[in-house]
Amino acid sequence: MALDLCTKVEMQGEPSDEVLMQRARAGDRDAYATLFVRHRSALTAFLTRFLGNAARAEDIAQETFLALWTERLRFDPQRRFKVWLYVAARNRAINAHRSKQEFPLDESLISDSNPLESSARTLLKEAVQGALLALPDTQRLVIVLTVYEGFTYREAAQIMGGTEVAARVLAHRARQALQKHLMHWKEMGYEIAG
Amino acid sequence: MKSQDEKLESLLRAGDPADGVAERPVTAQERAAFVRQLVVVPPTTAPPRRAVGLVLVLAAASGISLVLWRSGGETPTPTPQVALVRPTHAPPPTPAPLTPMRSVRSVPPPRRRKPDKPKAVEPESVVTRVVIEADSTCTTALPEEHLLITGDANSVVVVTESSEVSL
Repeated sequence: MALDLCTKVEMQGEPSDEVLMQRARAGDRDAYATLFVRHRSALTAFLTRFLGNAARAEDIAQETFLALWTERLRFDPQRRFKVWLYVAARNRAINAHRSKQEFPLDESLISDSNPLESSARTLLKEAVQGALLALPDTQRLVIVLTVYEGFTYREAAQIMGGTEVAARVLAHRARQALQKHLMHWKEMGYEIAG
Repeated sequence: MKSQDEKLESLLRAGDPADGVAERPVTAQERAAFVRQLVVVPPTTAPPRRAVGLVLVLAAASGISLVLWRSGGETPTPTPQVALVRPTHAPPPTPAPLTPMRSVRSVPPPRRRKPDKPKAVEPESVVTRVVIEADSTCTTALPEEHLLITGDANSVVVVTESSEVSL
C-alpha cells in the first residue's frame, strides 16, 4: 500500500516514521531510538490486549524492536512503518501463543490502582479481557487492531496477512461473540464515560 | 442513538485490558539502554534469493514421459529461453539428477483416457539436449497443450524417453 500523503509529511518539525526509518536503514541509531520511543508503549498495549499479559507483552515488544533493527534493510520505504512493526509483533505474539506458553491472567491489568475508581470498572476490565481471550486468535487480533489501535480494515488485513474482506468477516464474527460475552453489561445499561 | 457496534466498541474501550499501558512513556534511561543494545547488534543484509527450481512431470496420452525443469538464478531473465530435448540415436550425457520440489499443473488436462503413471527418468534414458531460442509460440507447439511455459525462467528442458515427440 502506498503511503498516504499525510504520513510522509513531516508535521510540526517532527520527521515521519518512514523518514526516521530511512535514516535507521543508513545506521542512524538515534533515529531508530526515536521510533522506539514513539511506538514502544502503543505496541506493548497492543500485545497486552492480544496476549492478556503485560509483562510478556513488554518483552515481546522489546524483542520486536531489536529484531527489526537487525532487519532494517528489509524495510520497504513505500510501506507504512507502523504496519511493518505490527506485522513483526503479531508474528512474535502468535508464535509465543502457539508455543503453549501459559500466560496467567495478569491481575495488574484488572485491579485498579485508583481507589476512587468504581468497582464496576474493574469488573468490566475483567469481563472485557476474558471476552477477548475467549476469541480465536484471528478474531481477537482484528478487534484489537481496529477498535483499539485504530487501523483500517485494509491495514489490519495487511498485518494479519489476509484480505480486507476476510478481516471484515472476522470482525463481524468477533463482534457477535463479544456481544454475547458482554451482553449483561449492555443490559445493565452501563454507560461509558466519553 | 448509538448502534450496537458503537455500544460494543465503547464497552471494549472502557474495559480496555491495557488501560494505562499505552500511556506509559519511555524514560530517558530506557531509551539509552535501548540505543546501547543497538550498538552490538549487527545488521542483517538482505538474503540472496533462493534458486528457483521447478520440476514438472507430466505424462502424455501416448505414454511419453516429459520432464520439464526450470532453474533460476538470482536475477531472472526477462525473456524466457526454451530448451527442447529430443531423443536421438547418440547416447546422451546423463542429465543431472533432479529433485522435484513440487508439481505444478497450470491448466487442467483435457478429458481423455487416464494416462499411465509417469515413469521416472532413468539414468540410462536416451536423451539429448537441443537448446533453441524461442518465444512463447514455441510452447504452443508442444504436444501437450497444457504445458504452458511462461514466466521468467532461464531455461526449460524437456527430456523424453521416446523418439515420438513431435514439436
